Amino acid sequence: MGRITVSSNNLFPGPKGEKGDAGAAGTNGTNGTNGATGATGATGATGATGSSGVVTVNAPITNAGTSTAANLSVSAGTTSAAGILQLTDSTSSTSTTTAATPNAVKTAYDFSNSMVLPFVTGYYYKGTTANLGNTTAATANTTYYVPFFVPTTTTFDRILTRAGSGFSGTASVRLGIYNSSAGKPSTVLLDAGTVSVTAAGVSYTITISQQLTPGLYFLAANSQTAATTNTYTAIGSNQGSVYNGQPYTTNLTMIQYYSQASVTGAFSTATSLTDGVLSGAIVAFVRAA
Amino acid sequence: MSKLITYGLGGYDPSKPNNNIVEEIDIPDEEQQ
Repeated sequence: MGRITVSSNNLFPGPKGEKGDAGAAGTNGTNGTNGATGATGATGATGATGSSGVVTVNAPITNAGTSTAANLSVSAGTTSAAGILQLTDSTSSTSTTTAATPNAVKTAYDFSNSMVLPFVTGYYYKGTTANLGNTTAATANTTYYVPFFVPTTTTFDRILTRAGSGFSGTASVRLGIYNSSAGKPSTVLLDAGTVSVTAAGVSYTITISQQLTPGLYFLAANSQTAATTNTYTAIGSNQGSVYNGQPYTTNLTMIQYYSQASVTGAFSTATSLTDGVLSGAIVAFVRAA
Repeated sequence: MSKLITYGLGGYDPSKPNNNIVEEIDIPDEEQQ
């Protein structure tokens, strides 16, 4: 058997250890909210007084006061000086110191319109001098210009010529509209082209879209190739009686149209015009749209 | 009865169908002038 040795060191605990080191510092906290807005500052001191103003006036403003103590007014207008005007609805006043209202202008405008016979949509119209016949042959390559007065702005959608009852053969007829100058045809407003005329009594039209403002125009027609019997609805031997502003010759024969010889191809500015006082001009018609 | 022949814009044109005739209608005699 072995011997057991008992030591006092194995029977009692040793002394307590030393305290450990302090832990690491924590992370920073979040920022706080903004503070409240501060109070409004005190009002600043009043500025220094400025210098006195000077009023300068120009007509029609007048100044009954002084340049530093103005008393302004506006002068009345006259036909020679600008100024303030009294409005009036009158359509009979002869005043030269009042002004018409839009209402007065409309009254006058409506009245003037009521005195004009408008063109009726879908109907054909001819020149004012054209008293129609259809037995006289037209001269080939001669442009006939028949006056056509337009009293109110109108759009026309057809231009027409018609072969006479005795027509035979084939013809090319050019149709168009001319502006006027000093009562006579001047520049080309519309060259509508040609129609091929092949049968008596048949109407030939060309589609157009031509607006005419109030004024005097001329409807132009030219048989640019002659048919065997080159007759059309034309100005007859008796002149029209409708007032049209056309002049008369010295023997009091009304000028019914103007003509220009030797015109071939497209229409161009009218020139070398001859007064037309005899029958025979081809009459072109236009249809109101 | 007569006839009304209508050409399109520009009038007679042999390069277009029917020479640019767009309409042919008969007209009663009483409507002729």
